[in-house]
Amino acid sequence: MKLLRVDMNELQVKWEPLPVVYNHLGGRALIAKLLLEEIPPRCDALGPHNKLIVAPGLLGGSGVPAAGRLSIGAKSPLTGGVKEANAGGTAGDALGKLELKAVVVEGQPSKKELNILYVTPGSAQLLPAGSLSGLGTYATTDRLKGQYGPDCTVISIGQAGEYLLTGADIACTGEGDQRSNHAARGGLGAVMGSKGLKAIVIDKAEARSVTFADPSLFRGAVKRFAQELVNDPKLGPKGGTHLYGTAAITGAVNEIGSLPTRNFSSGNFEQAANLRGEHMREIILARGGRIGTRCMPGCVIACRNLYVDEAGVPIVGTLQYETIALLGSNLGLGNLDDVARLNYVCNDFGLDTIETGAALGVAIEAGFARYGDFESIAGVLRQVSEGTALGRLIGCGAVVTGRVLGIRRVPATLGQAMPGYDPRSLKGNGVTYATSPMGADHTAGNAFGARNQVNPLAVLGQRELSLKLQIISAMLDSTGLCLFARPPVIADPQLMVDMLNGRYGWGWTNADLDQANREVLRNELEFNRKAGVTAADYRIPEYMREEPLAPHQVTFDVPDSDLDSVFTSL
Amino acid sequence: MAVDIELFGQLLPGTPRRRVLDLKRPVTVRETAHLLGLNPDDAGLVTINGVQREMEDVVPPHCRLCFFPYMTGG
Repeated sequence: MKLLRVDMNELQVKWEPLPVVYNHLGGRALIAKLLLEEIPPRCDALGPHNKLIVAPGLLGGSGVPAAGRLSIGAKSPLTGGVKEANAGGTAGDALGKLELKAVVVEGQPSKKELNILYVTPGSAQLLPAGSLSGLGTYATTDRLKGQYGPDCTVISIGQAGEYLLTGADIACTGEGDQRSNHAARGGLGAVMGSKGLKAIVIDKAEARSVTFADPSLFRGAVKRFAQELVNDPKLGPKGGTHLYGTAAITGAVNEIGSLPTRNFSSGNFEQAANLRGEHMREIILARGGRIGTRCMPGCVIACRNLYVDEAGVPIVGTLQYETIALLGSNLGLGNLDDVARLNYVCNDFGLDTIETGAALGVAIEAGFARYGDFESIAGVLRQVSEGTALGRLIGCGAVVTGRVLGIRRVPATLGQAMPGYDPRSLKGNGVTYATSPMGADHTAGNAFGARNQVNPLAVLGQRELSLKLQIISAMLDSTGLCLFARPPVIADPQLMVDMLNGRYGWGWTNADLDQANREVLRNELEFNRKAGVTAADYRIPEYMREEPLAPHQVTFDVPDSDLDSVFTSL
Repeated sequence: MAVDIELFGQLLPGTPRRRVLDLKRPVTVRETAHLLGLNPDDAGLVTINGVQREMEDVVPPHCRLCFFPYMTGG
């Protein structure tokens, strides 16, 4: 295994053997360790001392279903702390097959010129991006695929990343013609832009297979794991995640009163039925779109869709729950066509749909557009690519937008916008938003799936639940496993241990795995502490503690003492 | 007493998603599921007036009762 260092000062690349201390680390775990060891915690996130780290999970390239997610990390310009965001697609698999632990992008070019990094099994080189400058992610991908072949993987930024907007994300290509799997959160697209890196191209044609320490153990565990996924009522071929995608939960989140509506002013949206996964499926099938496709090689869940217009022309793929919540109900939009069109624009500019949806909600509250009025909302969003002052505000996310426009009701913690679950009526997520080193990020510990264990409206048990979920998330993000594929390894952690031991021959126990997951959080919390992040920065906004949320008329009332002690037993 | 019922996702495909049941006596959520022809084990979440409930809870008069399949958050 090796590291690829990319020096943007000198425009040179260097291969390094992997230091032994990093052997057991992948994805998010490796990012946390590298950040802590190599990046000055108080550095300017968009300056030369920050590093952009691209790392497949430990199972990347090994053929485990749904385990090819790619982690991307850096000090976040949005939160000021550690950030790891991950995306599906083919990049994690491709880098894993190259036995590449991470690509570490360092420094900053002296000239304001963009480059691309081209990676093959035996080589890597930086090349001028030339006319790719100023292009969106779709056009960038099309150009690069045209040049390097349809099977290559492209990781790219759009205009938002080039402008260094702190809501910028990073797009990754997937199977077939997919161009929009996004490592969305934390403004990592701006870090990539600050490095003068427009895209990374990974050549698949020469990618090899990985080696296994114990092929029999590995194959047995993978077979069991895949069968468990297929048998799961949520995930199998008759499960809601496959049939309706991530939007399967829209109706339920609305029903329990947690669907962000009109800048988080209600947990119910009167047009939610039009945004449900069930309705989306009917539309897509009637129009000739695609349902139940996969983003990663070998995934047996296949939750992806291709949303098309009335003429059957693709608008965006895939349309996901978080986007529907933040660009739909949060903006008062009850029409999936409208949401899909806003989604496309965000994807093309390279903007996080959660951050941007929250920022647009704040801008609407400030009077710059109207709830439910697609044209006024789209007009504001278009200004991001036009580079106007308002557009740049929106592109920098909800907190900056609220601060400049004088809006106090900003749904964010640690500088990052909340995803599609209002923490007042799903308090476990509130605890995660208020304690995770990632800030408001549902993927860091989503309590929605644990609603049968802990009452979402109660305070009791949320602290313990959030810690448990955050530890699990650290495992998923470090191995490259998709969130949706977690049930089998939660029910039987030995499955994950066997897959890792079969791949690497570590002889790990369940306890070793648990400690490794906890170490990820310890490293991230330590980085944030050194970066100057305080408990106050993590807190749920004051208005959510005071302003009751309809329909249950609840506030976020988990006491600070509970939040402060989440990691006591870590 | 009339109870407003809604089924979500893949529960009882091909049947109306919304219906009103006129219950002659107090019944549990589980009994209501049986009245609908729904296997209670297929329901991953039940809510009454937006609050999560259990199968043995009694259905109050004039409420909204929703049955959801098993789901997972993203």
